[in-house]
Amino acid sequence: MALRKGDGVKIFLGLWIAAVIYSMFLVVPQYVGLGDAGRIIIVHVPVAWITSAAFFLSAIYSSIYLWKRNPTSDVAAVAAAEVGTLYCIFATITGSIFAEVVWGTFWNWDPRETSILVLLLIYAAYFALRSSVDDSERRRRLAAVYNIFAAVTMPFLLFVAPRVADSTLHPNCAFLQGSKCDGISLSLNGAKIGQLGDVVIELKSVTKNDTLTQATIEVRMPGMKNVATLVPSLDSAGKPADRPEFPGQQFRMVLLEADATAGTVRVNMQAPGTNLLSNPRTLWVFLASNLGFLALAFWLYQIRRTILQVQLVLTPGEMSI
Amino acid sequence: MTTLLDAGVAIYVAMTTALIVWIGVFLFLLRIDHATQDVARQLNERTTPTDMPQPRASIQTNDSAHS
Repeated sequence: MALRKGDGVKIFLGLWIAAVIYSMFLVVPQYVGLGDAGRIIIVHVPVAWITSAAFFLSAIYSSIYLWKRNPTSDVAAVAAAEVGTLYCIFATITGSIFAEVVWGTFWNWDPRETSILVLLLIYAAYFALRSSVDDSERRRRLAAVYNIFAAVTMPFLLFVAPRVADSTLHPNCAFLQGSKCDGISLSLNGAKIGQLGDVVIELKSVTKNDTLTQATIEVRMPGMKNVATLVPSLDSAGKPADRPEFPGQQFRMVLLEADATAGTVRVNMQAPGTNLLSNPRTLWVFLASNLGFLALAFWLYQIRRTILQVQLVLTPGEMSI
Repeated sequence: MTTLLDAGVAIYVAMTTALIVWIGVFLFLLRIDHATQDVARQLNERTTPTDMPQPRASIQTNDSAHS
């Protein structure tokens, strides 16, 4: 295969992503609680983010089509939606691999998994709609309106719904601070019962010795199936020391603040993978991955757009997509 | 006996697999990219105004007819 004038940038992109893959396995450190399985976030998260960007771009082109009625805008909308769907499938596959290693199953209808499946079905319906209308003008108009509505649902399905759900196993706090990421405060003299996710916790005591401040907390899992007493602690520098695991789960309880004199604590549920990006090597490889996969998406988009454009010129009324 | 799934080896196996898959995908994309560029260029050459037959007729007014 002979190289051409514009291939330099593409080969650079190929080497860039190869370097990201190398770094993902051999430069980024293992994650506490996740081991090597956690490395997949270097690919999984950028791909999921770029999915939303591609769908958003597709909706913009659909809006332009409805405004100007230029078929090239419709072609651009289709190309962007196809790239978004491809990335969405890739994000789902990498997420499933992660789920198999960490949660023990490829698919367990976690809110995050369910919402991304619904999003895939919404965009599958977009392509089905396009192929079901024969008249090209009508097809473009209907598909553009549908695409705008599909893009409106996308942020809710990708970002809001999984964070609203209490029972998700997805490590949300790794990147964005969610409602459960700040933990809850308990007091022996006030509110000593609280809820972390769907787990009820009750503060029993706060003690301090020379090296540790310990909180004794009773934990009741959903349905009262498991009741256990956990003793998380802070070291003398005020950093979390012991992080006991919740019964039957991979989540850990972490003591964020404690005052033995006042009898107050602030505790949180720590999912595997929390604060992954605090490591500089992880952060830089993650940013490089974002750039690489964004450029790859743009390249894919250009290729697909050119093909559809050629198809449009050759057969103006009979686009197959 | 060391196998490909041993803890110390598996990560290198996974990385090599991922790199091979990426190289395959990349070469495939580069070929498709070249092919689409060729088709688009040929199509443009066929429809560019320079290749279109230029009008050769000229309008002549017959002033004598009005006089």
